[in-house]
Amino acid sequence: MIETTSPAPVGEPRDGSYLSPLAGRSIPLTVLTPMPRIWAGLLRAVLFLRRLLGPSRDLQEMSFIHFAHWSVITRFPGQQRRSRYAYLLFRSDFNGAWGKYIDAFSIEIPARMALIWGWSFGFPGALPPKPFRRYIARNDLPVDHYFSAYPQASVNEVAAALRVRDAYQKHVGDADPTQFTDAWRRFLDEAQADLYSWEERS
Amino acid sequence: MKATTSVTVFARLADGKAAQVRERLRAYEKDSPFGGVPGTHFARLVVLEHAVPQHRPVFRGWRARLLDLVTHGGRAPRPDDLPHPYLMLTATVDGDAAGFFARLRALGPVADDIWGECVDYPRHSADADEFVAFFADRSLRADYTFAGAPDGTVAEIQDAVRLRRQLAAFAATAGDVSDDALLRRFRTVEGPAEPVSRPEPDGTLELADIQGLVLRGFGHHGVAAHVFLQVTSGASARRWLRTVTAEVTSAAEISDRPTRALHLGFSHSGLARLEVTGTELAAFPDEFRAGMYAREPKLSPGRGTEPWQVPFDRPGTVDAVLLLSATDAVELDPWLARLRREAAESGGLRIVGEQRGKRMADPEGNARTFIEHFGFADGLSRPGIAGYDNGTSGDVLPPGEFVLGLPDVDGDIAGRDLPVDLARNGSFLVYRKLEQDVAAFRAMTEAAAEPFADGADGVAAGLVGRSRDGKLIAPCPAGAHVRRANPRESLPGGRKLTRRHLMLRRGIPYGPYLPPGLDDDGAERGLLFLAVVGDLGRQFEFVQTEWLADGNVFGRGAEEDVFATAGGSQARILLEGSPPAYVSVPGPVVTCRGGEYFLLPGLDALRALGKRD
Repeated sequence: MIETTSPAPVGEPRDGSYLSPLAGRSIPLTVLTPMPRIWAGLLRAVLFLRRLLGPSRDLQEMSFIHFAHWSVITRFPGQQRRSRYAYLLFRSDFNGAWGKYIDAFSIEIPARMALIWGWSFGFPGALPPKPFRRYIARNDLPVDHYFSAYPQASVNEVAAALRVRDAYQKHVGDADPTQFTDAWRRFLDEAQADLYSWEERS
Repeated sequence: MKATTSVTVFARLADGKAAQVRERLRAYEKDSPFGGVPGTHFARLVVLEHAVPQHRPVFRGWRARLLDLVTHGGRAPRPDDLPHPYLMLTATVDGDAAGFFARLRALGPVADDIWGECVDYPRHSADADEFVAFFADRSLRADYTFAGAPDGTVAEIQDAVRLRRQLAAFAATAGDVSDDALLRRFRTVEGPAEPVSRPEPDGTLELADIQGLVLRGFGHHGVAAHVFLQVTSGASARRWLRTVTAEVTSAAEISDRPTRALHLGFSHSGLARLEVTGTELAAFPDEFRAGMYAREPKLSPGRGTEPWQVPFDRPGTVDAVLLLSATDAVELDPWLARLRREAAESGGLRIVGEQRGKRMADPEGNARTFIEHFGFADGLSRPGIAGYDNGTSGDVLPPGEFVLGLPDVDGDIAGRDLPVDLARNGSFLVYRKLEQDVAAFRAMTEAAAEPFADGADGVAAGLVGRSRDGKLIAPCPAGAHVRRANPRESLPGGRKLTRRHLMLRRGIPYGPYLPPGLDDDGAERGLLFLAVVGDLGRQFEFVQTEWLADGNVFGRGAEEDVFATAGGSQARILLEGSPPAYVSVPGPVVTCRGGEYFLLPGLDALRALGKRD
């Protein structure tokens, strides 16, 4: 058995890590990393505990993740002879520049990152952010097809749209037409911060 | 019942079919089959042939090393791989997984096109239970799912997004339905005390080796000239470099308040033409290697390099820049003439352009501040450097944010991978020539002035986030320029995240001032934007794309910064108030006319570069 210790790769493997995508607001990230089988149960317990605790507030406030899913795989579906290692499969749909997304994880919740990826081989530590960014970039699987039902709407815009809808229903929805001016003004007062009106670049 | 379900299916691909399936999936790029599957928020398909091989990393911290010792016994991974190739489907869907699989069947032949090469796939013509069971049997459960957006079905979200856009467009165009009194929206507040920067070097920085411009802006220099050079012969240019380096101003000279200063930068093409080796060049970051011309389509979305001027109209034209500044033209001109002559006669350089700059005094007579062409006081807020600006009140950042080879804000070493003898004590310089259309700016603020108590000045203050004399306004509109350029505490994560993206601005205006009330004289004027950074991507490019060219992080969708946008008939900036006002931006007020990324090497590095043979 030959042990391999590779130096940090030269240059960022994923080009333009701080540039935002131009087409659509969502980016997929799909990361599959091997880990010793003995830790699979423990990591599942960590994720189960996480689920009991509910969605993490700080991630919600960062508001750039539509969805993120974690699965611990000890046997791939249909697999007869088990692999040497267990695998952690992570996939997410997020908004904005790729580098920003990974950095925010490293800086905001380094301990939780270590609790989730620390079992996996190749994990360089969550801080400083650059080696972790390279690790994720190296393991990000190329997606052959990607779909979003609302490609131009970020997490922020979805939240804004639902707030505007509720405010509109509350103030204007059933208002008497003669009261429209007042109702509209109340609606504006409540919802104006969400009423930006800059059309997307075509 | 929870609103959405995470679905992941690993379907075994028949051997030898991976490339073919991948090609077929990539052909769906424009027209996704999932558009025809109701209740699908997101979906992706990945042809998975192998697991990515893993290596044992070089650990930087003791915590990571300890963790590796505990979890892996400090051993490297052994080879492992997937049992066979898979087609992986991951989706987030409304309702339960079985319902989603049944809806996939409704895709008919398209479903067969996607999964037809999977072992035991029953085809859509099979009975529904069998079809659903194929997917259910190959599903993988998510141990934990995080949803960042509020609950809503696909249909609810799509309807709400559409409704919001319609209501916003109505609010923006309907005008005011009320007869409100004039709006005095903002009051000015005294900003946080600006750092009164007196250098207090504590020995961390090797001042004699750092170019002066990195640490100070030479505010007492009223004029500047930037000479753009192309290297025609590496050997002759290096010979010239040996002489000119002696005149480059180091940070150790700042305290003498020199009457003139010279700084020198090389672009990637310049280093290549000076015959820096390919291995050394490969270590530089992508942004620098590509050059600003290649990055511009993403830095200025929808605008690109079309309006760029000579010598920036083609990539790789400007190899080096001489940045001269002096107290006045009497001091500058003869020196400039001599340096131009020496470069021209070196036999290794061609002068491809020259740009003059001139500071503009505050018309109100405040001697401490300068203004830019729109009439605002400029250069008011800048971060300090730990080990140099100790004792200032603003953001004080670790020196590696601006000087390579030193600790940066992430606890890393700036430019860690760069060749030491080239990069040590150097910095990256962002150079951008930003033309300002003063008449267009004034027309834009006047067109929106009506509901504002202080008219066009009120509009301008709302767009900029400061009054003309530099006082911050409160409440600061979410779309104001100063907030976008440095959001401070206003974003989630606060300063801990925003301070990773600050720059030292060293800009100077060019072109004649157009006093208010005068008609457009057609003269070119603007700002030579110069910024010193340690990381081009994390500092400059991040601000340009995430904060200026897009409004999403500020909760403003696609709304762009007033000074970055190309404008357009649908471009409107929202200024909150009662009622809210929308400022139309029919066209650009600031346009980039060229620029480049330069390395400002340390003085030792310049000397070493000159001696390479």
